Amino acid sequence: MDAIDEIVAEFLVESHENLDQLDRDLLALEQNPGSRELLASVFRTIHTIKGTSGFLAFHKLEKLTHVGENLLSRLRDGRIELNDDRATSLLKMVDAVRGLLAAIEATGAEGDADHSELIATLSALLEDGAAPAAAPAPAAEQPAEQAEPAADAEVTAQAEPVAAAEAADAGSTDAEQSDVEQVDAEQADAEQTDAEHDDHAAAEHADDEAGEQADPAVAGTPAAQATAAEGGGSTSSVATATKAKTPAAPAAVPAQGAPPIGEVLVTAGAATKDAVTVARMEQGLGDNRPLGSILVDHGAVTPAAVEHALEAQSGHRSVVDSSVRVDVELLDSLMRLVGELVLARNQLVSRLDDAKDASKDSSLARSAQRLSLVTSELQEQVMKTRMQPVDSVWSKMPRVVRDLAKTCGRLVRLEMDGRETELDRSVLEAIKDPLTHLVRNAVDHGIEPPEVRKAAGKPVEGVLRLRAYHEAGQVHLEIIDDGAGIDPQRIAAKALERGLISQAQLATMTSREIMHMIFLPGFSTMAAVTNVSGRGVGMDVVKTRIEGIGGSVDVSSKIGQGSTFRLTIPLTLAIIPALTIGCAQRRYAVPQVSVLELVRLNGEHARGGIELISGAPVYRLRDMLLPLVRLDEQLGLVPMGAADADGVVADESRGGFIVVLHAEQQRFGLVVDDVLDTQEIVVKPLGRHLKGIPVYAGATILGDGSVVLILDAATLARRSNVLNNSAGLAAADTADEAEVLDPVLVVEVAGDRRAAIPLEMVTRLEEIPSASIEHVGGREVVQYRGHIMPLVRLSTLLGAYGSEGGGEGVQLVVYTRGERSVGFVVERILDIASERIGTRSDIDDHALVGSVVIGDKVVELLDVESAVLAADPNFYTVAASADTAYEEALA
Amino acid sequence: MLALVVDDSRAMRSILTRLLTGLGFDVAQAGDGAEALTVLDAGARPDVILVDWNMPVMDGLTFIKNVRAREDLRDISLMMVTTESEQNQIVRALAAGAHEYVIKPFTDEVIAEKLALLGLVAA
Repeated sequence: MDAIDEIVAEFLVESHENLDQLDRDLLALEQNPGSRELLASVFRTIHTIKGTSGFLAFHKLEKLTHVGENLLSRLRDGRIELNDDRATSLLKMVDAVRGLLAAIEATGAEGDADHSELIATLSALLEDGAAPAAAPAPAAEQPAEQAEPAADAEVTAQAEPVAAAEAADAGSTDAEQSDVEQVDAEQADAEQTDAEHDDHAAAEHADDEAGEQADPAVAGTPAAQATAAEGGGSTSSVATATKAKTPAAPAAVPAQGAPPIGEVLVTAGAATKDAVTVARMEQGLGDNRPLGSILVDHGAVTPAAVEHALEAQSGHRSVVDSSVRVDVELLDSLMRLVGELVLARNQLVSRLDDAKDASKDSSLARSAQRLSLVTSELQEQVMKTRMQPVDSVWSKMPRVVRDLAKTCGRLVRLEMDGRETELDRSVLEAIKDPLTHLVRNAVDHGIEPPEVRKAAGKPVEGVLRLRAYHEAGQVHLEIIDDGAGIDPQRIAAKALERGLISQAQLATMTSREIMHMIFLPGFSTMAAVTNVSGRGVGMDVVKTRIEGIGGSVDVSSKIGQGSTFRLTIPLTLAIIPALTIGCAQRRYAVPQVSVLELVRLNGEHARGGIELISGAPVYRLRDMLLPLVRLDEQLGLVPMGAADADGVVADESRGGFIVVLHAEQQRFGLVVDDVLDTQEIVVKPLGRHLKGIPVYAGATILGDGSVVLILDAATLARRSNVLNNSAGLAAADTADEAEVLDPVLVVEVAGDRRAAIPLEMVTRLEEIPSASIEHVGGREVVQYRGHIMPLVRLSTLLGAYGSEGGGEGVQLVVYTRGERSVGFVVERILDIASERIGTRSDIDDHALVGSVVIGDKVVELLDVESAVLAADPNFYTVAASADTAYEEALA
Repeated sequence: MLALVVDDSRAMRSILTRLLTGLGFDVAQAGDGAEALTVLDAGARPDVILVDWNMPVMDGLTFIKNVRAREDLRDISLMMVTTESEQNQIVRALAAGAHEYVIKPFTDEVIAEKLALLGLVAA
């Protein structure tokens, strides 16, 4: 690479960085059009690109940025206002500049893109403010703005001869090296001349071909030209005359940003602060020797110390020097190598473990341990080099939102939380398109047009929020809008219309499942296909992409209040901690992020503890029913249905483990034979012929050299149908008769009477000793998790005969909202079932919603809220005072 | 011979550094006027400072005024190197105390010629 290529490369990198900043600045400017600071920054960027491109003979780039610069300088000086048209054109110019830079990067030349139209637009925008008389047509939209500069132009025209004369004065004054103060005063006039120049130039534009913008200097007054030449000439002669050689230029060139020598000396303890201050003052009083020599003269430091400090100073690394640019491909290959190293380390460690008894070579073991440690650290550091803040993707969003909002006629404010959240760059790369799509969707479909919002009583400006945060080794990204929300009924109707599902299927679906249908291929809820989104090709791609990198997508929405899309993404893709499990003599790996806990099945909790409810295996884990997936059956290692219908599992005595996993915000248990190990595994993609099996997320090589497959928790759950039907209880055979609603907990109240409680209202099931019930003010309470919990006896509430809790223990169904809980006392907990519409009958009773038929029995459906109010009338209204009242009563 | 190049563009600094090195200068760099002043405060005494006009933090004109206001820096030649090509801008720069004014884009010869005028390189 020769010197010029290097400079071009430098120029490209620098320009790209500057343009990113510029995009942000331009958008910020729209919010705050008067900001001189932002305008100056934008101006500088374009100015810099223009300056350098002229040098490197990129003439198109120069021409384009030149027009942009003119527009910007006028904006900066407050001569024209930043309006929509100007902002849009400037953004277009930035795009064009990017295009040219990309062409230069790819081919070394600017390519043949034609920007004359853009240049014409930019020039027109330049003129409609500055010289309306010359170019009246484009300014028609802004009559007010037009009038004002017109007046300006007049004033400037009058001032012209005077200004030119004074500028001439300024030139000669300077040549004589006169009072700087006076020159400053003259500058005001010089600036006015400047304004007048621009008007000349602008006037010329009107006649000129737009692209052929003449240098404003050419249009300047001859007087000023002559003066400048004269002034310049005399100045340089003065300069030559006064120029004298600096006697002792320092040998060492201090790096930029190095601390002052005095500071270095003080820090090193070679000089006192006071001595340095005194020396500085002397410098201030006209002693023009270096600080070091003054200090030596004063005897404050030794010459050696000064020399030493100078050395230290020149060796100082500024921030600029301490970072290097590295090609990302290099980082990628570094990561691959570290991956291999981790594998080799794992193999070595496992060999050593095997060989432990045979040959106790402790020094080898120590070396291996050290290798292991260093490898882990290396891995961590290499991962860090690949981490980038999510902002590198987000920074493009303000522009996307702005452009789209303009096109769709929406008012959108974009808010971003957690810009600094870091992600592996491969992950960032993978989420870029899905994220953009979701953002576009939110603007196009989510946020309503201003008039609709106004009619709905919402602020006309919609808010689109992007949130990112780390949690449990994963990154969560949320795209939240306060728009119209997604109507599940419309989704259902659309899915039926498209033939994506049948009426029967729909009947069995929960609202959550219905919402998730927007991710089905070929689904679109928009009636009209816009050019933005709504082609129905997006959401399924979003889901596929995110799941492709081991993440998940979730959507929640409230009609009229907005929607939230939540992406959960692993930090990195390359090396992940995983749990190795054994099943039917084979080994598999499960990514640790989806593992919640491990449950050992032995003794009385052996597989006999697995129950079958409606044919689906469940496990009672701390009184919560956990739907189960048997891995061996799921993978076809044993025939399906190894357990028989009445709940007795065939191989009851066999031990094993339940790996409690979560997928798509739900829990389920994976029944396996053995839990072997946890280790860092290097994820290798599956071969082409295995790609079609979604249960496997990839493969890895274990320490002993064997290849194991990595299981994908979400796919496993989906395939075995344990999600969304809370305990796997949706009875498929009766599903087509009626719509299945949310599952209910069936309890026995007293005697033979039963009641059903919606499962979503149940926080926990508890068994407490009868003795722990205390009586306060005629109510029964227990101390529960540090609070006083009032109890409601359902038998009393429902007027059943007899009462619960005859024995030692009392069964409680706990309902919690926030800090507060209520316990319902029941006789027994019977089952979890699904309530069906059509079997309800209304009972006019204060604590009941109605009755339903579950199995072949009539069960009363409890109205939980009124039941809660029966126990604690202030439960929903008073935050904590009622609780305090109980506590006081007990004290 | 030491030259200090003050420009906010890395590419531009590289261009000037290459050119000046070719002419036999040692070259120090700074990204804006404030940084350049820091370099000077640290004791560096370049023979010539080539300074851009439009820079963040402290622009070239302010920098030149600052340097000119200091007695201990009076031996340093100041050369404004900028795209500002209008006469009155040139006048302003010279009024502030620049010794030479070079308009970008420049050729190697122009810089060499100006440096010769300042007596820093053989004509």
